[in-house]
Amino acid sequence: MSAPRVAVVDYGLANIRSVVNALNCFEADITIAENGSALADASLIVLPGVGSFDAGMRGLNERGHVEALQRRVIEAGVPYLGICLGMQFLFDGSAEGSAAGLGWVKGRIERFPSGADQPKVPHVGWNEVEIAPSSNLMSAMVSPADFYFVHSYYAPLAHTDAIASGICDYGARFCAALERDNIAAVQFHPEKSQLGGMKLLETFLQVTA
Amino acid sequence: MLKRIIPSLLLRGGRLVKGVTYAHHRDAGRPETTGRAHNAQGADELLLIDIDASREKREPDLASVASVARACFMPLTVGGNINSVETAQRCMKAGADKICLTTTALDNPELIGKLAHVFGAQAIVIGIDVTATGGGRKLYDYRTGKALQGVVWTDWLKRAVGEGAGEVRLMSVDREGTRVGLDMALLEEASALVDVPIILEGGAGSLDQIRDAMRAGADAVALGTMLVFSDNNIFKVKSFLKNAGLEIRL
Repeated sequence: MSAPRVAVVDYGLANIRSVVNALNCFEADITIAENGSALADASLIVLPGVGSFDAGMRGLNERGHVEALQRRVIEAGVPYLGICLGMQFLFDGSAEGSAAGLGWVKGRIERFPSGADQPKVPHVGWNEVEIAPSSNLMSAMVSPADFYFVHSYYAPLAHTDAIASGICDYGARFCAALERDNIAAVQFHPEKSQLGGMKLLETFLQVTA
Repeated sequence: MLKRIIPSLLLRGGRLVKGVTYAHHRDAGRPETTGRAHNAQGADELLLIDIDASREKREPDLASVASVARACFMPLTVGGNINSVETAQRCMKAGADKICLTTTALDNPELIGKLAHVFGAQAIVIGIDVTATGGGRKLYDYRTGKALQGVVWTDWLKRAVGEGAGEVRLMSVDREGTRVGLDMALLEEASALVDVPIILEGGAGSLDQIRDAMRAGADAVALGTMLVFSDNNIFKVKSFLKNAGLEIRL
């Protein structure tokens, strides 16, 4: 089997480097896709995200990624892994801003409530993820597994009940990972989660369309 | 939420150094090798500060940042005269996950909000350097080596978080490198004022002190001297904390 051709989507704001550093530990042919046309011959697509929802969607639109992702992931069925904001982009929109998301998953991203009786926002640090038996990406791990989170907004289980493959509890239970057909996304950072995260990335690299 | 142990690495001339009360620095190793060792031992994050950048009015040493980033698969916070969105962006490109602002935020408080808007509040750590030399707590300006007059540290802490900082690196400058113990009173005072996570640093010398700080509400403790110039290591520290009943990732 030849090494997968992995395109890491670059929209100008995210920390592409750590994801690329992590993927480089495995046998993979990695391209940094600075615009949509660079996704054309990828056999796997990874969209890492740091930053705000609107700035991110603007970057994706300006670089032609939105159209290219629609074509490659939705129409051609290329396996997709969204990380952090790369998970949130999948939804219709976010309470963080007013931009339209990719709309591949129905519903909106919400903000963790703040207040005296609520945990601190942002949710920063290592937390446990309960892995659903349906998960392919995390099937090699013992549940719950520890992953690293950095976010203030989250995907509610109300929108993701049928596709959630990982659930985390931070004041309320939320969708930490989802898997639906060729689309997978995680709110946590596998590239920053040491052994468990590396295992997840290695598993994704073995997925074939 | 799991409590974090964060090695605090100080960068100077492409090498790591460690000092006492922000002076008398000694060599502490090669950045990449040290990052790799901390990664292997299960550090929860890394803090990497270029300590000459603000005095020399330049951006952080990005080659060293990139070399550390290659070796560690946990979050990396970078600091050192980051005074614009563009500089922050270059740090991110080199492999930083979070940006730590200290003196540049004092010069330009709006920078906190600007960076938070672009990268998200969770990626912005505000460094609060506090000194109590001469009586009463005051903010410390690393560039001059003196206490800052005219700014009340508690007001600045609240303002910085209000501007959009998602996390606080609370440093007791007088205790740095001394191993006399973390400043519990400082932690208590700061915790009452802001509700973002607090990384407490400065003075850790024993495992008990780290445990007590975490029990008192520190979300993370940053360690320098204890990891560099003692027989402690991250695995030992974290095992101790876990056995003490704290929520720790091993």
